[in-house]
Amino acid sequence: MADSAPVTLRTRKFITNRLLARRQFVLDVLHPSRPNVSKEELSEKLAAMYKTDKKRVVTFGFRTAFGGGRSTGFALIYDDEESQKKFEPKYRLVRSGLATKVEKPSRKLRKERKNRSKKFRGTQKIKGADAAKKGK
Amino acid sequence: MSSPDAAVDTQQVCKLLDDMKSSMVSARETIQSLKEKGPSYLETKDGISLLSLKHQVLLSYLQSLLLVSTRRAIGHSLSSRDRPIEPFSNPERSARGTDLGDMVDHMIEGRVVLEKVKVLEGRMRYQIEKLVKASQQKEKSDASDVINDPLAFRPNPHNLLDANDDEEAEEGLTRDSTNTDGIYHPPRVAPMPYVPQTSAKTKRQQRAPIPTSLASVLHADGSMPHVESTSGLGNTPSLNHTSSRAKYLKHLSEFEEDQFGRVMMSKKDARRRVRDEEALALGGGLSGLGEEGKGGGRRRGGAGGWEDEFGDVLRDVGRGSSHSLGGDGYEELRQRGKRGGVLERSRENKKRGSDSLVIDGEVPQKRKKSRFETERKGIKSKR
Repeated sequence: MADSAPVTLRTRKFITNRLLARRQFVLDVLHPSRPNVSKEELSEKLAAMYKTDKKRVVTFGFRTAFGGGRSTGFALIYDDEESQKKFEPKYRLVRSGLATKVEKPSRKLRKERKNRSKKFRGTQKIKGADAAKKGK
Repeated sequence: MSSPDAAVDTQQVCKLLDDMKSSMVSARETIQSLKEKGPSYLETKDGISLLSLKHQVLLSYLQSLLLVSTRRAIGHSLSSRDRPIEPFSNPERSARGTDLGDMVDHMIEGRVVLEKVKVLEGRMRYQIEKLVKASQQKEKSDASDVINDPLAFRPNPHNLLDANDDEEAEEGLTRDSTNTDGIYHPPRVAPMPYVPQTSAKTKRQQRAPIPTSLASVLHADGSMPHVESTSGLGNTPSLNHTSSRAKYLKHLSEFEEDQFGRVMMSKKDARRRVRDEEALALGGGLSGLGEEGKGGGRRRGGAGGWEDEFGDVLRDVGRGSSHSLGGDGYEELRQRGKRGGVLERSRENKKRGSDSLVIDGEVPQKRKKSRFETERKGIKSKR
């Protein structure tokens, strides 16, 4: 995919966060004739700029200023994969592909099952809950 | 050397010598007067006064400038420095060396000091002017010219104290004379009407609003450079970002950048935020939650500061065309002759009665009975 116009990246408030093993900054993206720059493209560009692996770069929170052409967001660059897996929240790990989403039944369903199982005791709980559900 | 040249030269030399002599005499006189004033005049126990600081700093600045230029002409390098060991923040720092770089440092320091002194002097300007005027006035005018004397009408707090003491003394006397019978007599106060304060809103309304032409003065900082707006529009209040909503949005964006994450907002708030930021970007015109815009109400102004800046012009433009439909002033007369709509006719009929002949327009017609009315009549006849 060829760029229609050059994209300029500017970093502000650059902080090296030793406690969380990462470098974090506010990112200003100037994209004059493009609607928006995707997060993957931004992480590729940042990886090239800071000479790291593109999977260590995490970008989030982008908002386009009115009139287009400029968006502001945040970016983090982790030192290594273990620290990234340790410190990043689950949803961002799922976004970058380092973790899989846990599929759970809906919250309402879970609570209903729990309440149904309250009527039983011991191993009957498992049988009782499922039976009631099927009966319903 | 020919004799006329020699004569000219000697005359010039003599003149120069005389000038030097007179200047040395005058300098000696001033030094003598300083010596007579004694050491108290030059005492710096309480620090140097601000005004004399300016002279000293300027003089040393000029000296350093002269030295720098002459030494540079000789060929000394500007970067040769003889720095003292202690850092700048240490008050016991030893004096600088005498290299060119040190001179430049000295000049920079002097310039910064002079700029700060200028700001301080600006703040004290009123007092200094008053004192100077007072001293000048004492030389010129007589004692009877009280009005021109700026220090004549200053308040005298002692007057107030004396008044209080007299009143208490008088009240004490009267009380002793009349209140010996032991009955409580309430104090005699003039009756005043009670005006209850309904809410905080009325308090804000009662306080006169700041005129928009002066509103920007509150935020104007004399030490900061003058800022021109890029849109070219003037000093309307919305453009100064004085609305609480604009300040809140600015604070929010700064907070988000500091906290390194976006703030959680409901969809309604998020949409409102986007809309308000658009309005701000187009040139202002936001009104806060409790504030009223210029017209009163939120969405009157349209995009940006359009209504704020050109509101009076636009209102003038619309005035002529909305007068009359035809434009010749006879429209109202024409409308009177026309038959009114169904609603108007039904209202008229209600007033007159359902069976009477109705004259609408030119031809009198018998009113057509609706099905409801016939049935109603039918019920009555049945009974």
